[in-house]
Order: sequence, then C-alpha cells, then structure tokens
Amino acid sequence: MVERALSLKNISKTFGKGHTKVEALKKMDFSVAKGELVAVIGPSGSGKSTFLTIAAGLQKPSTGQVSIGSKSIDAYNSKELAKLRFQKIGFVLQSSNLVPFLTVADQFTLIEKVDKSKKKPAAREDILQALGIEELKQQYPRDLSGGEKQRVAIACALYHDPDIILADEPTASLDSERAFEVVKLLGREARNKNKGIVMVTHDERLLAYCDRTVKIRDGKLADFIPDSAEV
Amino acid sequence: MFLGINEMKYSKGRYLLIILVMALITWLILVLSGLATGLAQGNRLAVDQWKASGVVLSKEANSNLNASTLNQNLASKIKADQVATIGQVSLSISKEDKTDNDRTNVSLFGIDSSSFLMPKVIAGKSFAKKNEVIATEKLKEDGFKLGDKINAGTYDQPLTIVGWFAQSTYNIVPVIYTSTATVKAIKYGSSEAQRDNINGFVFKGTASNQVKTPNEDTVVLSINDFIEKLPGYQAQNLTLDTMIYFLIAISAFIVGIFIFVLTLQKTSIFGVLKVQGVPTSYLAKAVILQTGLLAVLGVLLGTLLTGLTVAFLPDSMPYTTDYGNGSLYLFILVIMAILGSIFSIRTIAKVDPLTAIGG
Ligand SMILES: Nc1ncnc2c1ncn2[C@@H]1O[C@H](COP(=O)(O)OP(=O)(O)O)[C@@H](O)[C@H]1O
Ligand SMILES: [Mg+2]
Repeated sequence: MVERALSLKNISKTFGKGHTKVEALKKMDFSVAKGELVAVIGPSGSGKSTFLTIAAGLQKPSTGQVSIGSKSIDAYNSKELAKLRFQKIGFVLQSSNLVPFLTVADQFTLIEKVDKSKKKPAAREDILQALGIEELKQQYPRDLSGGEKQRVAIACALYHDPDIILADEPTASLDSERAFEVVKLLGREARNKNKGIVMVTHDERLLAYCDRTVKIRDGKLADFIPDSAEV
Repeated sequence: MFLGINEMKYSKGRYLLIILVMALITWLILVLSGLATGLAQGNRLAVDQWKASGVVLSKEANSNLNASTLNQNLASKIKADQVATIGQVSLSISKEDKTDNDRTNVSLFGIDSSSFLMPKVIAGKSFAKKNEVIATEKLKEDGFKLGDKINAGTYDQPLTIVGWFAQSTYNIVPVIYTSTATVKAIKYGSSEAQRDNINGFVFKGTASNQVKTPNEDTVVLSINDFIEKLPGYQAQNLTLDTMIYFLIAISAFIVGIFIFVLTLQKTSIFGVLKVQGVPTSYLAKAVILQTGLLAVLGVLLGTLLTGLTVAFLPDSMPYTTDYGNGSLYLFILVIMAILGSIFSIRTIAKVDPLTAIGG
C-alpha cells in the first residue's frame, strides 16, 4: 500500500447561514500519496480554493478529518497549525507570495531565520538552478516578471523541503511555455523527493504532466476523464 | 530584526520620516530640558553655593528673602552650627561713565566676609572698606572690569569692584557680594529705625528641623523649601517639566500611529507569511524590534542635533546640559515608542492568512 502524504475524509464546508448559506464542499474524500502529483480542476466557485486551504489547515472544515502524513490535525490550534505549515507544507499562491521588501536571496534567508529546528534546508543553489532563477538573487520582487515571481515563490515552497506542496493555480500568471516547465518541475519534485503535490489549475493542457486528475463540481469530487488523449 | 531592517532598507523614505519625527521631538525635549535645568540653576546657583541647610526669615515675608526683615541680634538665638546674617537687594548697575540705558540687573548680597557665605575670591581681593564689592566673573561679559566704579540703583555713592568670584546667579541675574553695612546703606539709607535690621539668617551644619524659631515672628525653612519658594522657581519648573512629559506622551502617540498605519498597510504581507507558517510571535517581534530601532536611531539623531544647537545658542540663554535627566528622557522616549507599537500587535495577530489567498 502506498504511503499517504495527505488525506481528507468526509469533508464538508458551509459558509453563512439561512438564505446566504453556501455549501462549498459536500462530504468530500481525497488523498494524495507520496510521490504523486495530482491536478484539481473545476469551474470557478466550485470549491477548489476552499478545498486547498482546508488541506493546508488555513481553515477548519465544518465536518470531517484532515490528516497530514498519518497525523490528524483536527485538534491543532493556530500556533500548531502555523508550525505544521512551516515544516511540512509548501503553499504556492495564485499571485506570488513574496515579501516585497526582501531580495530573492533574502526570501530564503527569512525561512532560515524563522526556522528554529535547524533542519537543514535543501540546498538553495540547487533549487535556484532547477528553476532557472539563480541570476535573480539580488533582485526585489518588483523587478521580476510574473513568471519569475511565481518561480521564486515555488522555489521558496520547495526550499524547506516540505512533505506536501499545495499550489493554487500556480501557472495562472505564466505563459504556456513557463507553465509547462513549472508543472514538469513539480512532477519531478514529487517523484524524485517523494512529495505529495496537489495543484489546482484551469489549464487542461497541463494535465498530461500530472499523475492523476480530479474534478470538483458543486463541492463534490469526481475522477476526471479527459475528452481527448493528446496534449 | 531581519524583517525590520530589510524593510527599512527597502522603504527608506517612510522610515527616515519616522526617525526624523523622533529626532525632532528628542531635540525639542533635550533643549527644553537644558533650558529648564539652566533656568532652575540660574535661579538657585548662589543658594547652592552656600551649602547651607536652612534659612530664618520673618513670617510675613512669605518665604521671600527680599521681603524679609529681622533684627540682626536674633542671630545669637538661632541654635545652629554656623549662622550668618544676610542682606539682599535686587538692583540694576552701570559703569559710572555709561548712560542709564546700559544697565545690568544684579542681586546684591550683604554678608560678613568671615562667614561661610563668602565665596572664594579668584582675582583681586575681598571687600574690606565700605562700598567695596566683589562680583561674579559673569559680569565681565557685560564689560565690567576690576577697579570699575559702578552706579547701583539710586544709591548716591559709587561702588568699586575689588574682586571676582566664580559664576553665580540668583533669580537668573548675576550676584554681587558686599558688606552688610554697604547693603544696609543702599537699602535703608541712613534711617536710624532700620539700623539693626537685616533680611534674614542662613545657617549650616545643623538640619533645619533641629533649629527652633528664635521668636514667633520668624520661620525656619529648609534650604530646599527656600529654593522651591524662590519667586517664579516652581512655576517655571512645573511648566517646563509638564511640556517635556506632554512631548514624550505625544511622541509615543505619533510613533504608535505611524507603526499602526504601516502595519495596516502590511496586512497582506503578514497574511502571506502566515500562509507559509511564519508564527505571529515572529512577526510581532519584528515590528517591536523595528520600532525600538527606529526610536533609538531617532533619539541618537536628536541628541546629535541638540549637541549642534547648543554650540550655537546665544550666551543669554541659560542653557545647562543635564546628562542625568537628559538620558532619562531619552530612555523614556524609547520605551514609550515601543509601547506605542504594541497597539499594532493585536492587528498582526488578527491577520487571517486566508485573506492572503483572496478567494
Ligand atoms: N470565506 C467565505 N465566505 C463565504 N463564502 C465563501 C468563502 N470562501 C468561499 N466561499 C464560497 O464558496 C464557494 C467556493 O469558493 P472557492 O473555493 O473559492 O472556489 P474556487 O477556488 O473553485 O473558485 C464559492 O461559492 C464562494 O463564494
Ligand atoms: Mg480559487
């Protein structure tokens, strides 16, 4: 049996009350194995971001259990969740999650400063090279293109060598060539470093690079069968 | 500190502005404190130099030496280690050859040259004959020289400066010492009724609470009470001290608001960092340390500014640097600025990382 990196059991999430009530997720089950890159697609408003943030412990589900590795995080308080995110989860946002007043190199230094566990971070140079951004070390985010920013953000997420990477439309601001590269890189990370990676995307052309695709519609999860096999 | 310093390097303008505001407030506080100290000293320096423990004045004088009149024979009834009679008159003087427009205000004390009130003569000699005086060398700044004959108020005889002693002021004007007889002649003329009168007594070596009043028309004041009741002394100190503490409170408020606004502007950054798992405590520490650093830099710059200003202050301004009080104010300023930033910690704690994701 494959080891699970992340699993969600029977997750529901309801926002609001009465006539403004929105059921974003309805009794959803999901898991991703170590070494697997899973794509999540679905129309806008179908609950993809809600799903991803619950998986990252950024919000609590209305019902159901979330487990990272073999540990349930249902009882974690916000401090424990922050620690968990810092150590085990890399989260890549749709818009880049960089600190505007830190150079690319300092974005990495910050991670080292916050980290008190002295866990040796994956070598910085390797990641920078793999993403083709080693030239950008002294630049501030304002000097980077959207694609460069996104690659730096991904590099930051990888830097801490997390068990799980959750990416919410990481390729939205990239041209298609860069988008392919990023997805290939995520796939390599999953396979070579045995990480569980979940990527929300709109772009069906990227699915071919993923191990598996699931589709969310109206808060429910279904396996996705592509219309055509070619990419 | 890493976040704070890098942010300050990146947004130099806005942080320089805060440092500048801190520096200006520090500057104002230090200059005010120097003036407060200078004024206070100008009021009391002569009294401090007596190293006395108390004074005896007439009751109706309301603790005011100038208004007090006592019989000088009461001296023997004051049971203290050393007792000295003192006469005092405030008047304006001018060199004999100068016009009346060019006058200098002074405080003239009449003392026994063998008493402990007698200052050390640093040039010339002590007063011996009638109408001989010794003056604080501060009067040199006004052009007075040894041997000068001077007109004193409406006194019909010229006084002669025969010696100098160190800087000394009373009620912010320069001090002149002369014999009791000379002061009496200036104050009372040849009035037979006033022959035995004098302003009061200063004593030393015995605590004021051990000294009994020689009769019911007199009061014994400790030297500190006497200083507190010097005309205008308390009002001046209170005013300046109040201004200083208000300034400190205002600066804490300004810095607090600055930091608060900057924190609000950074909520999305804090959100992003929280998504990455950076704990609130780390972010809060960054903001507090940053404020502390800003405050320290501002205070240092303000101190530098004060140093430069003092070099250019006119001599007529009674400025005296008070290192003890000054450092205390700087310390309070930094602490208050840091307290001001604590406002913002709640805001940081309340930042929801979900907002960084933005749907
Ligand atoms: N904090 C919230 N409060 C109320 N409704 C929300 C909140 N977050 C998401 N929703 C609703 O939940 C549904 C799913 O949203 P989301 O997960 O952002 O969809 P997606 O990312 O697939 O576009 C939407 O109808 C959205 O309006
Ligand atoms: Mg979304």
